[in-house]
Amino acid sequence: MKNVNELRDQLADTFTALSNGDIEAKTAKELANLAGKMINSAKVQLEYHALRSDHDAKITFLHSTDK
Amino acid sequence: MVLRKCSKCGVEKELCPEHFHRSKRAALGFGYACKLCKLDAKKRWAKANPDKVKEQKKRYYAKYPDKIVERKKQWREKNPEKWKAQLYRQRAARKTRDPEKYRAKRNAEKQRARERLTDDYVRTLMVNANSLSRKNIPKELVDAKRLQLMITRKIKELEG
Repeated sequence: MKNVNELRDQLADTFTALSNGDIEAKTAKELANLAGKMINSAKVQLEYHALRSDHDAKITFLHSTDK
Repeated sequence: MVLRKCSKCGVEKELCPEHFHRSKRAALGFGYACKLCKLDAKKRWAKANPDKVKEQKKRYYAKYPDKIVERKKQWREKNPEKWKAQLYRQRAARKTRDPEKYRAKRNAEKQRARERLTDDYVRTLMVNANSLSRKNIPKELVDAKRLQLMITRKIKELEG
C-alpha cells in the first residue's frame, strides 16, 4: 500500500471479504487498525503543511498514483 | 436624437431601449413611462400584493424548475460568502421560530449523517482535536477513512 488509492482499494477488498465471511474479524481488525495509523500519519503531514501555509506541498502518500 | 418626457417622473430622456420599454401600441414603438418609473411601480405593487407575488413565483417554478435550479446554483458559485450568510440567517430564524423542532431536526440530521458516513461527518471526525480544516482533507483520504469506519462497524456488528 504505497499510496492512498491502494489503501482505499485494500480496505474495500477487506470490507467485501469480511461481509462474505472470507476473512476473520480479527484479521480485518488488524487491517483497519493499520489503515487508521496510515490515515493518521497522512493527517499529521497535512496538518504540518497547513500550519506552514504551504498549500501547494506534495505529499507522496496522497498525491502519488503509482501502483 | 429623439427625446420623450416620462409620463410619471416628467424627466426628459432619450427614446431608446435603455430608458423606455418597447411597446407596439405606443407612439414610436416605446412606452410612455421610463424604465425606472416602471420598475418603481412594479416594486410597489409587489410590496402591496405579497400573496400574488408568491403565487406567481410558484407558477413560474412549476413551469421552469431546471432553469431556476441552474440560476440558483450559478448564484451560489458566484457569491459563496453571501450564500453562507444567507444560510446562517435562515438557520438562526428557524432556531428562534421553533427551538424544539429545530433541535429535533438537527439531531435527526446528525443521526442520518452518522449512519450514512457522509463526507461531512467523516471530515468532522478527522479534524476533531487538531488544527486541520475540513477543506484541507482530500477526498481520497476521506474515502479511506470511511472504509475503515465501515470495517470497524462491521466487526462490532459481527462480534456484538
